[in-house]
Amino acid sequence: MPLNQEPIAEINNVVRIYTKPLVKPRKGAHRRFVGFLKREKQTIRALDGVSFKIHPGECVALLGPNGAGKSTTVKLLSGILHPTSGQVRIFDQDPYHNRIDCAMRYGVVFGQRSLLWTHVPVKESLKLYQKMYNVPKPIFDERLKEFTEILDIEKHLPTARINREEKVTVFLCSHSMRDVEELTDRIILISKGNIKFDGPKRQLKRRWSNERKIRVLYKKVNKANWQTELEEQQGVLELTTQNGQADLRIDQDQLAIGDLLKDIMELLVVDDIQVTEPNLEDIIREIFGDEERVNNLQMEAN
Amino acid sequence: MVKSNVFRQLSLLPGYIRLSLLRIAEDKIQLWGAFATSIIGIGMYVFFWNVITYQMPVLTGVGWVTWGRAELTFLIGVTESAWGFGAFFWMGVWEIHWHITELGLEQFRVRPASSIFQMIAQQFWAGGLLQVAIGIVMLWLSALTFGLVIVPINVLLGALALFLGQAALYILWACLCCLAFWIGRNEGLLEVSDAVEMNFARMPIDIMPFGVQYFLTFVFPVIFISTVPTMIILGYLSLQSSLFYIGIAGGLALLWIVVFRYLWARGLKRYQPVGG
Repeated sequence: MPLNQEPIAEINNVVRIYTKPLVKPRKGAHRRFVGFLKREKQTIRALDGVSFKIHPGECVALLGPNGAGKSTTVKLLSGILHPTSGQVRIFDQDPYHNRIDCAMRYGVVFGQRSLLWTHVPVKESLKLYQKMYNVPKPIFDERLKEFTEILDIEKHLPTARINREEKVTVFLCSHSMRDVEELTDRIILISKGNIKFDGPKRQLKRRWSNERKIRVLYKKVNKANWQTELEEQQGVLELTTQNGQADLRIDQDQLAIGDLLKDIMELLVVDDIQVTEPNLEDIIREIFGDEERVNNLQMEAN
Repeated sequence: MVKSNVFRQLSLLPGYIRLSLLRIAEDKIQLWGAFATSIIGIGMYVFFWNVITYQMPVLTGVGWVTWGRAELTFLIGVTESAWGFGAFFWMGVWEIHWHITELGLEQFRVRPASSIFQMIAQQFWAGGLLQVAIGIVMLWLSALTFGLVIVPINVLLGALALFLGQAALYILWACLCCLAFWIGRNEGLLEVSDAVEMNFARMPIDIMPFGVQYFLTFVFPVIFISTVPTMIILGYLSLQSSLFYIGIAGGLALLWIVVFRYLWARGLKRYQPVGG
């Protein structure tokens, strides 16, 4: 991560407040009339003092549950929204007030919204983008050919190749943990408009992955009450068995894997053992499924 | 900066027109629909004014022009051409409030071009050009039938008045659309103003009382999309009067551009995204 370089994007103590009408049932014609004239509103703090920096060439994932403030962050960075307070800089410019200049240098894709024109061939839309982004014709033709090949050959994760080969900075908000797992080095976790974690992916995994999954394939059992013995061990969180297969989930802080494996070898005639750490999807699901853990999570300095 | 941005938008115009032509080529039914609507509309106006002029050979009021069958038929052609150009060029204005409240501005705000220009250009409707062509044929036929004398300079001045007046009218609509930042969906307001335009554009406005004329010239400038261009093209206005009207149309367009820029800048700061 080239942290010695100037950041390409920076969000500093940004607050963004939305307002929405408060729907209240009112009794009586007079109250309804007054309510119509003077609508009450409620405010929602979509972002509440968010700060982070992104450096050139970084590949960062912004993750959080629905309504956490991910889209608002992206829209502030791309100059679509104006912050209620705080500062947003991209390419050392204010993206809201220098939107067109900034937009020449970044590209934003929103999942549910197509950036292509309907009822015309894709190539025609791209030709208009060529004009819009002032791309010289030979370069446009070359890139069109190149990306046609990439998208044709690599049906998955063209973004990964773009990031690797073109040295593009990527800021990714995705529900697909596969993209995040394969593409990003750094993860920012956001919840209720606050950043809960900002650091390398491996650090997040280390903090949260004290759990291990162990799958044991066995031929026969040496002790009839082997299940009870395993379940009673401190640190075994879950045990499920099915047709010569036992799946355990353990907490490494309470139980050393080596000790457990020794016990398993005594209790069962083992065919095969697999020890896996949880993937990012499991970790993220677990983090955001437990509100208390999210609130207790210390923010990690970048 | 502003100058270079204006040139950038202009350089995108051919691309957007091309997309619009490709879209209409894909949807020929819509094109035939536009053709039929245009022909039926013109037929109904011709019938209507024939009935009126049968009862009352000339229409006069407080205006300077005596409107007979020839002028009224010519007016139909001008209105049709104006509506055709409006349908081709300005249709996107009608969707601004829709983008603010329902569809979102995101797709326009992430591209390196003016959001408003994109919203308008994206809706260029090539079917409007067919309507313009039908209107021009109507003008030619009425000039031939009634022996009207058309001078090229008057055509240019009339077209300029029409272009500026129509710009003023549509930018006024854009201002109304901008109110969506504050009051939410407001198509009712737009429908009412559209109905005013649709009805008054079919009539010679200078025969009406001064108050109505004043309203339709300075407040809601419908006069510039039919009556004024007709009077200029037919040579019923002196050069000074023509330039006076062109100046008013240009001034109104400028005024509404300033108001629109102010509303848009203020409104954008209030913009709240729709959906994720």
